[in-house]
Amino acid sequence: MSVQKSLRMVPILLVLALGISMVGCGVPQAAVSLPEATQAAVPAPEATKAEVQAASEELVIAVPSENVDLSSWQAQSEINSPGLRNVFELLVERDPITNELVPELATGWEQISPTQWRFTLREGVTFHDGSPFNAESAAFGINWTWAPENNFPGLQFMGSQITAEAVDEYTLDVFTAEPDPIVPARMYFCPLPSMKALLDSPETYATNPVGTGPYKVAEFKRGQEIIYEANPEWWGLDDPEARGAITFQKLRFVFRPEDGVRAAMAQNGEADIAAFLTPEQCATVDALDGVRCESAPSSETLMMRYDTPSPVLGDQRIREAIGLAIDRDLIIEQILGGVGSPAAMIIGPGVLGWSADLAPFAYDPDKAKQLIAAAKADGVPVDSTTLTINVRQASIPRIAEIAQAVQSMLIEVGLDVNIQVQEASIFNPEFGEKPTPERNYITIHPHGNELFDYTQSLSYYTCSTTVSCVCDPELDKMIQVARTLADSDREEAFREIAQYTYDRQYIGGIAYLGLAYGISDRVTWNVPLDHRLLAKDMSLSK
Amino acid sequence: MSEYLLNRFFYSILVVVGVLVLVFFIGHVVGDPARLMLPLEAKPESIAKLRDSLGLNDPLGEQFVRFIGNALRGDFGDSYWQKTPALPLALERLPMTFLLAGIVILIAVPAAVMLGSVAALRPRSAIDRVVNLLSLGAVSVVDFWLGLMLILVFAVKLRWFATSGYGGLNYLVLPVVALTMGPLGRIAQITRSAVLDELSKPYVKMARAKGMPERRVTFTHALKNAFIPIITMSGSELISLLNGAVVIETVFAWPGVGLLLILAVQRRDLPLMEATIFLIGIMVIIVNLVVDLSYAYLNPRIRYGSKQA
Repeated sequence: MSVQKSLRMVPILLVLALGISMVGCGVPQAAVSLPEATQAAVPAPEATKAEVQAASEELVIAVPSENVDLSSWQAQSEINSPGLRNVFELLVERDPITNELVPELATGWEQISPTQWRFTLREGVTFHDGSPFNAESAAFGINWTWAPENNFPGLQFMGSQITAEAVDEYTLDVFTAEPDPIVPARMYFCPLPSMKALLDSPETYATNPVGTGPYKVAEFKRGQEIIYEANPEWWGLDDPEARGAITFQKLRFVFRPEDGVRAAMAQNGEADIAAFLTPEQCATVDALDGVRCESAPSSETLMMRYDTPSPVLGDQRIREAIGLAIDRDLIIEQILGGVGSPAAMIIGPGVLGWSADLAPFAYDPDKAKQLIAAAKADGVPVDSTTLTINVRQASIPRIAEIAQAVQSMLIEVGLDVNIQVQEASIFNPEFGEKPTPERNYITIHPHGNELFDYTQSLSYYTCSTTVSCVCDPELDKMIQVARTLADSDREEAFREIAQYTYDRQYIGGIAYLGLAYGISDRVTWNVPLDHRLLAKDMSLSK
Repeated sequence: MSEYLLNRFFYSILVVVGVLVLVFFIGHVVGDPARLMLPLEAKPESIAKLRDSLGLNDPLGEQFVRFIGNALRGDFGDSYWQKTPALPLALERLPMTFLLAGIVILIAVPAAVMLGSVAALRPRSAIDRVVNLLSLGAVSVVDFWLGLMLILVFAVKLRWFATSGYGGLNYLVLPVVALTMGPLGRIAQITRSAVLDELSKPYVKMARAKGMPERRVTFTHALKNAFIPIITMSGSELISLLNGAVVIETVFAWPGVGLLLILAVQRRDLPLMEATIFLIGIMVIIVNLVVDLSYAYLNPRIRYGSKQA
């Protein structure tokens, strides 16, 4: 009898185990699409030591996911580690309004040779553990972040191998393996941890963050919230170059995976800022008193990556026809909530290399049909080939609806198209495989350019990279050269590449995506282009 | 009795090991954690390195032996996602899950038993119809929708309670209400039919013939005998609350085991998945054992451990 009873539990547990192993319950991140930052620029606040001691306000920010861990490199990503950038600082920061590189822990920088950059560091800065910030600690932090043996996932955004060396107390040299004109932009990806903490207790690197920033971690309640408290010793308190102030004594980043709940928290005043609202939630929030919705373009673009080895998608006329067959305005209006901006490139405004000269394809199904007819007449097997729109489940909200809209638009112009919505565990490995001539995928997915430099996105166009479905040796050469150029030469090279890829439509743009926030009227904040939730940029409304 | 408990303990261990084996193999077959932890544009060498550092490049058999050996010592390894030991991460969520599940069961079971018994006492009366309607409604409502509606009405419009999060009574009321509906409806329906069933049995007629008061007939005799299906149902409700309150925990950001498991699955965090499922397995076994033992109390004819039983 007891055996039977025990065995009776087996099917229940089997179902449980199978269910949880096979179900991918993506919690979608809300994203909305916007043309440009619309909010008025407000000067960064300033504070003095006396003021920070008086600051008693608490700021509550509702975010969709909890911190992955508290390693310094995680502070690069607001999604992976909400608020951690308040703890760690960078040599080079981005201006929240113009997105230009501006000094933070470095006061200046210059290129000494194609593979060497020199940074002058800020004096009088200390880490939260009291150790001094100087060239030695900065070099240690940079070398740690780029160390091949650490293999931090953040390296994906950080380009070629970088090493750093102290020249004197406040002068730092950074060397790159290859000529690299955008080292300062890469330093924006390197939050600097305390050398002392790393040497004393490397095992606590992921759990005990020690930086130089205006806030320290007070408590991390897993699954609930992370609480930061003001650092009264912050170097920026009396320094206008810190471009910000400590207005809030305490920051509470609360983790709320459900976007409806984040919106509700903004509506009833539980949260001062609720991250990533949908357009509908934005409209609801805007209709209320005391709270508003603000948004800014993100570094994300929704794009269509064509399998160019396909006998159909390999034909330039077909790719152009697809570009013309898609009614971007309709998709943005009906699916993305009417706040979108049609995309011509795979990078958006704000990224170096974006060209205002390239217009998104206008909706012209008649011309698309003509191009398809011309391709057919030349023997392109349009009728005998089924194209597949491939998307990842919940990669952005309503991605499946976008796929359906694109499918119906392409069928309308005479293409044979089906849809495939895949779970991440299947989609991701396939995304990194080179296409076969039989695959015929149009992969629609968001691409983020976190480096704000076209080079990061150009890996989608080179023969050797796994994410590229194109191999054009001439384009490869252009990209190779552009990577080593600086300033106006770089911009010119990017312009040429943009035009070249636009003419050939190896990848089609759909929309530049933005992110929206519900913000209490008691808080003043310009949503920055990099979407970092930096409390020093926020202040109480007068 | 002790022989029965020993037997149950032995088979419970087998079940837990079976579940772990299954989770291990399915977890390793479905999806590559390294692929999901790195961005889509990650270089193949980075993926290979990460797989290596996670020990995923070792032969599956070797990984399995290592896993079982460590699991038997309660060591599921460090969570890939949170870089700290997985089992304590799961354990620290238990009190929150127990709190929510306990309150829901403490409210749902007495309320449902009362409603079901009242309905059974007067079959086809107005009160029976109302109870039927209410319990059907409670069972049919989609908990996700109910949760959001409760938030909109009671947290946003009326501002009586907090929208979400973990804390005092202010945070507890809405998730408890949202979670209570399903068990309340199901247990009320089971109670009604079980009590009706008992009331039609000869011993009830006998009791009535003896002139026993109706209240005593129903609540002392019929209800006690009807309790076996009610306890079985309540046990199963408790189990699903302990492991399946995922949706409500997500909506209300209640930091329980269910939410943790979903996040672990999303991130293909194998150690955390394994540790959480291990804990859930243990809880399921304990609840089932308590339910089984309660049968003997409710029905003295049931004897455990005796070969004749």
